[in-house]
Amino acid sequence: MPERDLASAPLISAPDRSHRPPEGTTWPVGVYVALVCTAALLLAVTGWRIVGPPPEWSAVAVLTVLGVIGSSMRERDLGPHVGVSVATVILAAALPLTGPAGAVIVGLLSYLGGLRAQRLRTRLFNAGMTGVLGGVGGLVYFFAGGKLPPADELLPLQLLVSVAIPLVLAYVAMTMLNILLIGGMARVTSGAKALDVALRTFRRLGGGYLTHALIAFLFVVLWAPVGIGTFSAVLILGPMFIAQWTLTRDSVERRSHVRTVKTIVAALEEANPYSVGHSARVAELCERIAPRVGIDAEDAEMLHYAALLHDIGLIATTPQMPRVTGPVDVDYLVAITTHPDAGVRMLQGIDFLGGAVPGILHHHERVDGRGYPAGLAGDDIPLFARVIAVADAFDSLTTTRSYRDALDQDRALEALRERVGTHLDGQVVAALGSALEARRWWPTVIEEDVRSVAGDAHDHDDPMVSDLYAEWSPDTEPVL
Amino acid sequence: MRLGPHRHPSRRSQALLATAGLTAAAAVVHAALNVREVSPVGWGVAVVYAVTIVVGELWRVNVLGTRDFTPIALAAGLAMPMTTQLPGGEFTNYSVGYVVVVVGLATLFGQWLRQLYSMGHLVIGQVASRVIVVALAAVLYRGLPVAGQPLADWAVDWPLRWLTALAMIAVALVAMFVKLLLMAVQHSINKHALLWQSLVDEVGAVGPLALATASTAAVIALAVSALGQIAIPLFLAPLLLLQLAVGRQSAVRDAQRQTIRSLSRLTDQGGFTTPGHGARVADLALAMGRDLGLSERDLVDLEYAALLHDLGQVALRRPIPGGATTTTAPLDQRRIAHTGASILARTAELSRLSQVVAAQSVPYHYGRDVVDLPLQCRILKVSNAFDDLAGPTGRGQTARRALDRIRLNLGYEYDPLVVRSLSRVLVRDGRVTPADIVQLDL
Repeated sequence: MPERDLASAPLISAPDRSHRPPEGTTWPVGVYVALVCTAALLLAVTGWRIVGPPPEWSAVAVLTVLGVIGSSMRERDLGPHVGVSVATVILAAALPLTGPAGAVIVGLLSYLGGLRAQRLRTRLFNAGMTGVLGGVGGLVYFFAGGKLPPADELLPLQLLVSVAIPLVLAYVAMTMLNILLIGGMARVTSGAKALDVALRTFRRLGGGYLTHALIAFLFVVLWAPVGIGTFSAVLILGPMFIAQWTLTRDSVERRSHVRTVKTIVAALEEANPYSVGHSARVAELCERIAPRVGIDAEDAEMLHYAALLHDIGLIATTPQMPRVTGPVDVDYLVAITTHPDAGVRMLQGIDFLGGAVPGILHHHERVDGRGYPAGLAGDDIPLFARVIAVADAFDSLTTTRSYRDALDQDRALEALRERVGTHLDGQVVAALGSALEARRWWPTVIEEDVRSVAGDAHDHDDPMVSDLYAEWSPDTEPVL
Repeated sequence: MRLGPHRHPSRRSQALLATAGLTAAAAVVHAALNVREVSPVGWGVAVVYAVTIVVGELWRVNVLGTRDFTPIALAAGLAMPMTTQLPGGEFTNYSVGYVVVVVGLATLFGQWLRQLYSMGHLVIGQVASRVIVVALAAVLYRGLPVAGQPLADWAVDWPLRWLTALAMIAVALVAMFVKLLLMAVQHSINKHALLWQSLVDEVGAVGPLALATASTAAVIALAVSALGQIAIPLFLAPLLLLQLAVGRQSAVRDAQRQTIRSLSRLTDQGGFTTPGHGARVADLALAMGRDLGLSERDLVDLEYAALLHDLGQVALRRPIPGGATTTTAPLDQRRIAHTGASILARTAELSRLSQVVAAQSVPYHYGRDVVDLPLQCRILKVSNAFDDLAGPTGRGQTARRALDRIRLNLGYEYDPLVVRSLSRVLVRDGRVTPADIVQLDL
């Protein structure tokens, strides 16, 4: 289930990017955490009064140990809407197996004893929250008619009515309460709107989250009605543990993959001191623009790759390029126009970059149709390409060139606004403007000594070069 | 099993097919003799098992490369022989032969459907290994008497259900080990790798998944006895999650491999090397690495290092004619190697490769005298030299001449052990004749 990262908590793990509040607990947070923990204890007492003590203390002990192991592993997302969390399964299984009071104990202790390093406040909040969830879930389960049928009168229909349906109801109630408590925590720590955070968390979960209820049901059935007891933990949770562990390694490999691409691109840029870090900066600008032009998180990742790799084709064209001195001439323009094509050719074999190809191929198109390589115009240019074009031009203007100094943010933005309608897409330029209002962009200044060593160099990303190309190639018929 | 166009079925794979064929024939006879005993409810459960196996064959996620491992079909196939009791005190009364025939037919049908919908090929070797594995589990659980009666009968008497579960898991694990062994045999035949090393690699790669599959098989068998056939799809859920997770992991690895392959073409595109040089060097290096018994992990490093070994050339102002580093001055060779290595050294993941890439210019005798040069470096050096000298086609006379050049530097520049492995690989691929090797005195 969702957990809060700053309160790296029980059920769902909150987005990794959550802002860590300054050290030192402010008093509303302390009060909130204390309230949650007290509520958990009160629920345990209430549950005990209404339903009675846990039927088997050994079950409570086993589930708590499993819960500690489960909560020590970070929860992993499996695709957009399926998460894998052993701790969640265990908490859900505790409802029928140990009753509400037992579930509070399992929830509290699992997260209190978790082996992950976290702040005391986080630990307490997560433990308290899971305790509350266990207690509420246990009561819902009980009032929905949930009980454990004995082994001798085991019928699928009976299992459905007396275990499955109450379990799903309890699980849904727990999930709702979980995201609300996380929203509340976000409110007291960072002042975010509680409901917004709750809604966002909910959307991240999706329907696939019910898988945990199904697996908890299997666990319970195997434990009590089938009568395997503790051993069923090995049988059912074994594959779950392996899955969670696999996903942990998977996310490490995923990150390493991005790093591989980044490093090599960065290394290749070093041949030319004016291009050092260019791709990474364009990627960052694209990341800031993306949400403002309606690109969702998954596409944004693809855009990130496209931005990182947009100039990779230069490797193929640079050796053929005439040595640059003096003004931009036709030879230079001819050589440079091949680089988007060359880049796409290089990336052909990489399936997962398929979505990035249009962005790379068309990032030098102009909205008036006089760009290269295809001469596309207006909305025919893929959105990724329009975004990269703006970021590319902006980074070029805000970086020192051998023939001019770096412009500052406002002047560069002004220059881009003048090009709306001929070169750049107005919507994307506006999005960049609003993105830069949120956080300033500092020009990349290259020192004089580096410049004198490097000598003159053209920059094919400079909007000026785009204009020269547009003038030089008056025929606007599409080439591709 | 699928055989390459130029490859004759080896003796080991023929033995595998023969064993499976005999097993299947015996099973059909055994099943025919005992088919009347199977209870009506037992037939119902058998149908669900068969459908599950077909679905498992069709919906297989790419598990770690091209491995033949379908967790769902395998779990269902192993659960079926262990299913004896049904709810309401009924028994399935399956015979060993009956189980093998049902699982074998379902697997065959699933594979045939795969081919029909062009999702893959019908691979007889996979059906054969399924038949052998399931037959083994069935004989162990239902046929072989343990202290007087088969495990299946003991399980009914045991009051403790977890003892039954333990027995089932033990049987499933034995069967799973044989499955891994068969996979290793298959791999060593197809890739000319050492059998022991293949087994270690298979266990390392699918070990956790195999464990989970074995435990799921036991769970299904147990749950069917309590809930009936509905338990079969239900209790596959945890395994399904695991299959998705593993599939995701292999997808990332494939993407990584593709990325490295594409990056290796960077130098081709810039005109620094002949097209496909990196890929050819990598293929040859892999063949030699397997021949010399490198582990899978080391092979991956070797492959990536071979693919990226000329990355340092992108820092050159103008390409070397023909891109052959072997023919340039030693100082230039070293500079290229070090530039490439320093690029790779910047990420933690690729830094392991950087040592191999850096050492490609170090002569063998230097390594022997001064430092311990890893086997991967020596392989890469020989593979690169051969491709530089023999060019893109690299067979017949050109290959012979290249080998001759390498032989002149044997023991000084190149490791004799690795060069001998190179000649083995070249002979196997038919690029040079055994007579050539004798003539060259390698």
